[in-house]
Amino acid sequence: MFYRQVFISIFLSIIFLFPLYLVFVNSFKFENDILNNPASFPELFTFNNYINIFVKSNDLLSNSLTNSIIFTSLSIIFVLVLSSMLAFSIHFLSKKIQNIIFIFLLLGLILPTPIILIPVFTILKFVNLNNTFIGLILFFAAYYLPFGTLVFRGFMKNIPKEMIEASFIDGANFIVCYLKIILPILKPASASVIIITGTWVWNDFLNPLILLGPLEGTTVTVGLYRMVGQYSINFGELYAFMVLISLPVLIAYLFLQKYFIEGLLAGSGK
Amino acid sequence: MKINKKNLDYFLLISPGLILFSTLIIFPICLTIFYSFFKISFLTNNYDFIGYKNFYKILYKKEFFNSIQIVLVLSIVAVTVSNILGIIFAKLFNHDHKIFLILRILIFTPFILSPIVIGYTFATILTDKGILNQFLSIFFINLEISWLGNPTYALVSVSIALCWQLIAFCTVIYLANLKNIPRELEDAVEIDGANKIQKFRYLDWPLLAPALTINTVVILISTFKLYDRVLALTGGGPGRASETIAMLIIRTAFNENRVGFASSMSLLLLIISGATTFIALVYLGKREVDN
Amino acid sequence: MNILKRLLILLSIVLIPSFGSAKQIELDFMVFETPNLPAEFWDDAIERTVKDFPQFKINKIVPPNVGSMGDYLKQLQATDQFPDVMMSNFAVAEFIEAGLLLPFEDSDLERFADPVGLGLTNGRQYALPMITVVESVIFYNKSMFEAAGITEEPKTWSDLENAASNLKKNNVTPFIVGGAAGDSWAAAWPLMDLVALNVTGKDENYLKDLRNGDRNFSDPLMEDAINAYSSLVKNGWTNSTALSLNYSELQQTFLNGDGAMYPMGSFFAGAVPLDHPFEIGVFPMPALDGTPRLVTYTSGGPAVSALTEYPEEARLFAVEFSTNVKTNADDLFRDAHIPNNKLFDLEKDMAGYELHPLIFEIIEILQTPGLQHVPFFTFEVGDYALLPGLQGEVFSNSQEILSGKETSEIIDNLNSKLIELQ
Repeated sequence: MFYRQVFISIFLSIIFLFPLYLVFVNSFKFENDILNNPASFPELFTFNNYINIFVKSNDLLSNSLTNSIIFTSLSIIFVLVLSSMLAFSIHFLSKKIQNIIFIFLLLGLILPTPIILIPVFTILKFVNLNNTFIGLILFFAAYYLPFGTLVFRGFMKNIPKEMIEASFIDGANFIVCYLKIILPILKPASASVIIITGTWVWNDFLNPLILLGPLEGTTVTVGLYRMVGQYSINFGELYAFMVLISLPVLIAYLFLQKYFIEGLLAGSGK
Repeated sequence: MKINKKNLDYFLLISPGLILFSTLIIFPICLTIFYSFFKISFLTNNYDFIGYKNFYKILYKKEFFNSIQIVLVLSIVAVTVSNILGIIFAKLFNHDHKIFLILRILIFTPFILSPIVIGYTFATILTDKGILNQFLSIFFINLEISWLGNPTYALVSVSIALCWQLIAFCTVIYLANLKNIPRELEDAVEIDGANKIQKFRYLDWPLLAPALTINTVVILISTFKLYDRVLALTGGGPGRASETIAMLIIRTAFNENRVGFASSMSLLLLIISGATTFIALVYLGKREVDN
Repeated sequence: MNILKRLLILLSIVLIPSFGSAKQIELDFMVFETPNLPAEFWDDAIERTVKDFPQFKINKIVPPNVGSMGDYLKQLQATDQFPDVMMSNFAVAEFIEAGLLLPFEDSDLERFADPVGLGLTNGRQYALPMITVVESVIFYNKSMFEAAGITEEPKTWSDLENAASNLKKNNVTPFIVGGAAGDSWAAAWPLMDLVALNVTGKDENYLKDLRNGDRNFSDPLMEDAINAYSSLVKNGWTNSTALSLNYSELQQTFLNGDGAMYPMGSFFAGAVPLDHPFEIGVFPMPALDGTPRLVTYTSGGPAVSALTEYPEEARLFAVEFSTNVKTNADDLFRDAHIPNNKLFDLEKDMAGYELHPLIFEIIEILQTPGLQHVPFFTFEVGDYALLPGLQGEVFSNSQEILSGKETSEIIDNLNSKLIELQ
C-alpha cells in the first residue's frame, strides 16, 4: 500500500516536472542533439550554450541580471518597510477606518495590472519617473503593499497589546516603538514577504516591458523576450538563458521554502 | 495611546504607504474610469471628451467578446483542472515519509518560475516537430496536431501552460489544509467502515473548503491578468484565437494608440473580474461556514 | 569625510566624460533584425558611417520583431523614448500624420536615383528611398517544377493554379506560406500582394474611398483577392504547418525543399546560399486579370524624428547612412535590397561579392518595360494610407485565412474594425 503510493507519486511527479527536466538537460546539448533527441541525456555534454549567451547577445544576459538584482532588492526593501509600517500603524485606528483601508488593500490585491497600467504610466510621466527604475520600483512597492501588509498584520495579531502599551508608558513614541518592539517581532514574517514579493517582482514581465521601455535597460524577463525576438537564436542558448534567469529564484525558494508557503497562506487572509 | 494631531511620528509611519498606494493603485483606477469617456492618442497627445461612445463601440467589437469568451473558458478549465489535480497530488503526498517531503518541495517549483519562461518552455515542447508530437509518434499515434497553429488546440496549449503552474500552487495550498485535518477524525471515519469515495466526500471535501476558496480566487485572478504566457506561446494567435483580454487592452492602448478605448475595456474588465471574484468569494465562503 | 571624498571622486569620474564629450551627438537609431540582416550587418553599417563622421554616437535600438516595428515605435513614443532616427520599413503614414517625422529637404534627396519613393506626403519626403524591394515575386523549386512536368514559369493566375494542381498530383506541397504569433506579417505577405495587384493597383480610388468612409471591404475586387488567397488553403495547396512557423522557420521550410513555391519579397534571394542543393527560380506573381503589374517598394531608408534634439545632424546621419556605398553593397548581398543610390555601381561596387544569380533575375524583373508598379498594400502613405490600426487587422486576419476561415467572415472582421476606427 505504502509502496504503491510512493510509486504513483513519483511517477506522476516525473511526468509533471518533465518540462523542467527538458529545459535543464537541453541547455547542455549541441543544437543537433536537441533537435534529434530532445528527451535524452546529452550525447555530448557542452557548456557552449552558457558561454555563448555570456559572450554574444550584446551583454543582454549580464545586463538584465544586474538590473533585475538591483531593482528586485530595492522593491523588496520598499515593500518591507512600507507595509510593516502600515500594518503597525493601522492598528491604532478605529475598527471602521481599519476596515475601509482593508477593503481598498484587498481591491489592490485582486486587481489585474493591465487595468491600471495606462494611468500609472501617465502618472509616472507626470512626475518624470517614466522609463526609470525608480518609477518601476515605486509601482511594485505600491502594488505589493497590500500583500505585505496582510502578512504583517497576521503576525501583529500575536503581539500582546500590553507590550505596546508598556513601551508607550516608558515614553517611547510610535517610531521608537515600531523600531524597537515591532520590527524584531516581524522578522520571521519578513522572510515570507521577501521571498514572495521577490519572486513576483523578479518574474514580472508586463510591467517592466511597458513602464521601463527599452533604453533604460532590461530585466531578466524582458531580456528573454528580446532574445527570442532576435532571429539568430538557437534552442540551446534559449534554454541556457532560461535556466540562468530562473536559478536565483529557485535557489532562494529551496532555502526559504518554508516561509514561502507560510507567507502565501498568511497573505490569503487565513 | 490616543492619536491626535500632535502625533507627527504616527503620521510619518502611516502616510508613506497609504500615499504611495493611493497614487499608484487607487488613483489610477479613478483615472481609468475618467479616461474611458475620452478619445485619447499618445501620438498626438489629444484628449477629446466623447461621453459614453467608447462603450457603445465595445458593443460592436467582436474582438472584445472573443477575448472575454477566451478568458471565461480558460478560467473554467483552470479552476476545474487545477483544483482536481491539486487535490489528487495533495492526497498522494500527504504523508510524513522523507520521499514525500522532497516531492512536496519539487512539485511547487513551477509556481516559482516566471510565466514567460513557462510560455517559452511549452512553446518549444508544443511546436509541430516538438517533443510532444515526437513522443506521441513513438506510440504510433501520428496525430500531427499543430498545437500552436490550430485555433482550437492553441487554446488547449494555453490551458496546459496555465494549469501546469496553477496545479503546483493548488497542491501546496491543499497540502497545508490537509495538515489541519486531525488524524483522529480520519481514523474515526475509517473505523465507521466508510469507503474511500465516501470518506473523501464527507470528510475531506468539506474540510478542504478554505483551500478551495483560496485556490479558486487565485486562479481567477491569474486568468484575468493572463498575458505573458500567451504572448510567449502563441502571441494571441493564430489570428485572435487565443488573445486574452489583457493582451487586447495592451494592444489597443499601446499598439493601436487608442488609450481611451482601451481604458473603457479596462473598466469593463475591472467590473467583470471584480464581480466574478466577489461571487466566488461569497459563494465559496458560505460553503466554508456551512460546514 | 573619507566617504564624502570618495563620493566626490566617483561623481567626477561619472560627470567629466559627459562634459568633455559635449560635442558628441548622441542619436538613438532604430534598426530591425532578420535572419538576412543580423546584428553584425547593422553594427558594421553604423560603424562605417561613424568612422566618416566621428561626431556621432549611435545607440542602436532593435524592436522585438520586424513585423511589430510600427507598434513598438508607438509604444516608445508613448513612453517618451521615440528614437531620433529609425529605419522606415513599417507603415509610416500614421507617424507622418501625427507630426512625428521630420520632412527631408530637397538637398538631402539629391543622391537618390529615384527621389520619390513611398514616403512622399503632401509633396514632402519623410523616409529616405534607400532601397527598392520587389514585393510580389514567387520563388520556386526548379527540380520540383520539372518533376511535375511544368516547363514554363506561370504567366497568368490560371497558369499558377494549373502548376499548383500538377504539383499536388505529384505529391508535392505547391505553396509554402505562413507566419505564427509575432510573425503574422509573413502570413499576410501573399494577401498584401494580391490586394495590391488586384484591388489597389486596378482601382486607384479604392484606398481614398476607404479612408473617407465611402467604401468598405465588401467590394467585389477585394473579395476576389481574399478568395484567391483562401482558395490556396481550401485546395490543400499550402503547407499544414503554416501557422506554427516563425519567419525564419518559414524561410527554412522552403529552403529544405518541403514545398515548391514561396511567395515572398525579393529579399529572400539574399538567404539562398550559392551552393544551395537545388536550383531556385523566381517569377512575378500574376494578377488575376492578367494585367502586367508589379508590387514594388522604394523606401525603407532612415526617417528622422520630429522630436529629435538634433534635427540637422540626424538628417545628415540618415543621408550618409543610406548612401554609404559599402553599406548598400552589403545590403544587396545579404538581403537583395536594390540600392537607390546614384553613386552605386553594380559592377564596380559589388566586385568583392559573389552575388546569387537570383538577385540579377530580380533586377531584371524590376526593369521589365511595360509593367505597372503598384505600392505595397498597407504601407501606402498620405491620402492612400489605411486608417491606423488596420494593418494589424490585415495581418491577423491573414492568419485566420490560413486557418480556413471563410472570405465573408474575413471581410466582416475587417469591416467591423473599420467602423470601430472611423
